[in-house]
Order: sequence, then structure tokens, then C-alpha cells
Amino acid sequence: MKIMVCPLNGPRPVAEFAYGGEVRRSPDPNTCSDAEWSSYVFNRSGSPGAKYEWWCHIASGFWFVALRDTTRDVVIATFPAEAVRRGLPTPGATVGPAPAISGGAA
Amino acid sequence: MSAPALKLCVQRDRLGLKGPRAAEWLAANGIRVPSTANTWTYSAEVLAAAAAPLVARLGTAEFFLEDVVAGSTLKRISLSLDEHPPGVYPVLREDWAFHLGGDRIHEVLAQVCNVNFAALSLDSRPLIMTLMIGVAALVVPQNGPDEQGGAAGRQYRIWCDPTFGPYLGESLGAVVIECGGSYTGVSG
Repeated sequence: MKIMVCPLNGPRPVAEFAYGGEVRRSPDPNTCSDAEWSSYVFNRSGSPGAKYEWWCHIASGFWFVALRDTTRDVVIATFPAEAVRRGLPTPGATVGPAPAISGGAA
Repeated sequence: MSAPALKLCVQRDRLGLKGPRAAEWLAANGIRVPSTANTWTYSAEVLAAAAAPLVARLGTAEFFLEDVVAGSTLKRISLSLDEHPPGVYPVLREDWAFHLGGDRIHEVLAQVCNVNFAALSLDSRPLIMTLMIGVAALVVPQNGPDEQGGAAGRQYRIWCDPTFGPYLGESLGAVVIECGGSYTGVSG
């Protein structure tokens, strides 16, 4: 069983979580071009690597951010949603051992 | 030895609160709140603590309260909410509530949930939000007899969304019965 560490609820089976998409900054809709806005709405980065993603602990409705290496499907760290406001560290700076997840395939 | 027993607990007032000033508002209304998220307490230190409303802290600024049978505390403080105190937002809670006690309850829980309840230490009064048979459930483990009048030993209070209540009750009840216990649909 794959375990993910929720910042609020602690280690839980990954089945208790729902994926919410990559953390992305929205361009200012009042000043950006149509091309920039449509790119934000319709395009996603599929390149593998360490990415910040929104995840939700379904049982508690708690949204948080996980830094996940999509190449290895390993969660490197998890952060409360407030971390987005404070500013998330650059993914490459925190890639290393996986403290927030353990176990084999889900 | 007592058989595992699942009881539905319906006749209780419940209240949910959210907001940056919810804890402060509860304290001003004489309700003791847990200091950390995912813990619970009784709202007052009285000799029969279990006769006071249960207060669960679901996050930094979210609370769930359940009164005892025929209790008046939540009715009283709910009146103050009509004044719309700033930073305090009531949340409708019409949960189905269950009480699970008796022997072999961890055998029951192991079949319906991924959390190892048997390994939990109750010293810090933990509160668990998890999926039980696929349903989001709030679980409070307790020791000893409470106002339910149950036998001493580990027991669990379980709440879930009312739309999932019949499913959770019937499914959990079926497992309890398989383990030699009983499911009572109506309780205090």
C-alpha cells in the first residue's frame, strides 16, 4: 500500500487522496494576451520531473501541496496550502530522499 | 467478554463551526476547545465529563460539537450565532452518528478501514478523519464507559455524512454481525 503524508492528518493510504492538478500561477486576465490566457486554460506540462501538485485528503476535505517526482512517482514532500502564499521552494532544491511517502506500487 | 455492538445515535444536537474567530467565540461561550488540530475534548471539566458536549477540532479553525442526549448547551450557544459574530461561520451538521464498542471491534475496523486503530494511543485524545468502506468518516476513539453506558474498554464514536449513513450503518453492521455482534439502528 502506498502511503502519503498529509500535513494535517499524517500518513494515510494514497486511496484517501484525490489529485487536483499541477500548481500553476494564473496570468492576470486583465493584462495578459488571449494567447497567454488560452495557453493557461488549455495547455498542461506533461514533461516528467519534480512538480508541485494540489492534492486533497478526501476524508477531511483538506487541500495541500505535494512535491512529486512524476518520473519515479515518488512524493518528495508535502506542504500545507499556505505554503503557496509564502512561496514554494524551487523543486530542484528539495529533490532528494522521499520523506513523505513510502511503500510500493499503489 | 462482550460481543461487538454497533449502535446508531440519533437524538443529539450537533454544531459545526468554521472561521478565524471560531475558537475565540467558543471560549467566550464557555466551551473548552482542544488546542491542536485532530484532537477532541469535552467542553467542560466536570466530574462526569462525559455529560458535557464533545468538542472536536478538525483543523486550525474548524470545529465539530455534539451534545449529550437531551443536552441544552448547544441549543444555548446556537442562539448567539443568530447575531452573526464576525469570523464565525456555522456549518450545518446532520451527520449520522454511530457508537461501536465491545470485543473484537478492531477486527471489525480492520475489515473496513486502513487506519490501524488498535495501535492508537489515546493519551492525546486523537481524532481520525479517514475513509471507512469508502465513506469519509470522523472517528473518535475513547476508553471506558461513556454516556452510552457501554462496557469499559476501547470504543469508537463514528460520524459520517447523512446521505451515506444508511450505507455505512448497514455495511458496518453486517461486519459487526459477522463478528458475532449486533447492530442497533435506534439508540439514544
